[in-house]
Amino acid sequence: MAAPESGDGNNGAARMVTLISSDNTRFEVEAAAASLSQTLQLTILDGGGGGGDGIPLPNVDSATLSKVLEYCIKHAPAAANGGAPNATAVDRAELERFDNEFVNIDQSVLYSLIMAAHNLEIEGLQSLVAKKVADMIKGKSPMEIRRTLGFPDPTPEEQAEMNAHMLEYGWAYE
Amino acid sequence: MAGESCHSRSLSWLARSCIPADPARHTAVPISMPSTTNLISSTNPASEEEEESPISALPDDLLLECLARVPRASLHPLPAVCLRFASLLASDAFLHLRRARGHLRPTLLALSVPSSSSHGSTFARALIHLDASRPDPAEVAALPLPAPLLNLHCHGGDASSNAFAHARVVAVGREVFVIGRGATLRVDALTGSARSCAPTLFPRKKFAAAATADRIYVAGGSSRTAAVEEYDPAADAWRVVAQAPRRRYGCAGAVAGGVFYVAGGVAVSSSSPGGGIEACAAGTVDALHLASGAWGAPRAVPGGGCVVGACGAGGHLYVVASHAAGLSFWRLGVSGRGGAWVPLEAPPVPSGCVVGLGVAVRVAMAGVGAAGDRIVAVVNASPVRRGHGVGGAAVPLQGLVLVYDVAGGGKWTCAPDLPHGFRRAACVAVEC
Repeated sequence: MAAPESGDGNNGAARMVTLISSDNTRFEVEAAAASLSQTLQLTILDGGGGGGDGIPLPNVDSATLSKVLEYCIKHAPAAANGGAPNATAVDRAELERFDNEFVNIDQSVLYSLIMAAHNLEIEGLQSLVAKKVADMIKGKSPMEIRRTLGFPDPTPEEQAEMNAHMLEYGWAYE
Repeated sequence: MAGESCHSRSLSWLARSCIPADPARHTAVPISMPSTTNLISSTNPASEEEEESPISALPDDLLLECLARVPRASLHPLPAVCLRFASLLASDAFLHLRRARGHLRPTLLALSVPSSSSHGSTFARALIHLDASRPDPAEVAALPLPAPLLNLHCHGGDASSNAFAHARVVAVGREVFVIGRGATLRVDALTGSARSCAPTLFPRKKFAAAATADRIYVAGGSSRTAAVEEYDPAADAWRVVAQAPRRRYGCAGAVAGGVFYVAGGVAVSSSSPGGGIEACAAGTVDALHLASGAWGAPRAVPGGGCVVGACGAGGHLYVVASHAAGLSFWRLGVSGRGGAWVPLEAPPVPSGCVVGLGVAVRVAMAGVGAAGDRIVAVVNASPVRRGHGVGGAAVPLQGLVLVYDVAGGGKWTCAPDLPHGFRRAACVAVEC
């Protein structure tokens, strides 16, 4: 698991890097896990993030970063295998179970994750969170979608504009 | 405060609308003012961050990534969520993302528009996937009709009540145009949202229609005019581009290699107001060269059959002709001036179904995909006089969907039949 830096863990074979969240919390993780991020990969390949320097991530807070790293650490071994062609069905099922559990989260956390996955360019996570939102939309009526995704109530003027639009298209606006 | 962060992204009132005014969990029906912003002691352990950011606050590009992953069956309510959703869903970016994610498949889209007010305020859409590998059952949805058409149905006289009885349907990109007599419906193949648009300048019935990448052409279907009309979807306007050499009725249209073909049907005379039949035009094809506006010499399909269906695919014209017994299938090679008819394998008709004398055959055809490497044909055949003579014993053929693989050796295969209620539907091939 990702843990705030405490000075230990640089003696193993795996290279470690330090990431610094927007609220100045330091996370030390294996370079392989952090490299799931296309953005970080370049810096890490250049030798950055090691030692006491750390890579500052001004757009990601510590709560979100810890969640992102949880994903990266879990997915790093499979990614290292090049998409895991020889992964067993058990491994894949385990990852799937992890993913399902991982996105079972509060909407504001999901929002932060979507933003972070985008900023850090973590492809698997980007598609996982987008899929989660798509699942939240699936099978719902327009009003249910508005509620689910947290749209505020329209003002009367907005409602009138919407109604005119609806009329043109014949959409029912409940 | 959160308002400013949202403002930059979108233009309309929705920019303000997507600001989190309420926690996502509130369950009150949002009609009047939200009473209080009661942050009911959330059981959220990560309560370090106070700001509530609902998904609706995502920037357009990230929201689009989410929308692009919604299963197609759940797409049709989405444009009604808000104007921002509507414009995102209508964007090219949405189409490209869905294609990139592998959510677009070659599909036969059948539309059944109610022909009178008694059928209510919805029309029906059926989708049949044409992937031979995955023969899914047809996906059927009822969709609301746009208000202008609804009024037409409810308040219109006899003339308008049957506006879509013999409608022709063509696709321009993801948009499907249902062209009826005095009314045109424009349907987004992906979301099913429909609105009415400009009707043809001359009312037509059983006419020829076909589309290029960005224009629609219609001809025939009226004894009062020989005009060929062109429609520009961007301008929502029709104009007359040519006069046809024959006034065909019950004809089929196709576009291939920059030529608009008008095929089959009967030629009607302008002199007799009743539209008397002048000469049999059933076996011939008129060709309008679209760039020059010049008509080529009419071409007769070999074998003396009547053209009952036509489409363009991969730059070639394909026609199905009906004969005294059975059907034939032809390709017109358009290389050089004229070209030659190439006989192809005839569409297979199930045993027990008679196609020939005394049987009226209609074949709606369309090229599938941009490459046009497949052709879909929807075959309907019914005895001309029910219970009498030759046709009486024949089993009527309804909504038979066949797919011809041009690239893969020229073979016909069967797709699932059109569902009940879609036997007279207008059909078109789309990517959705």
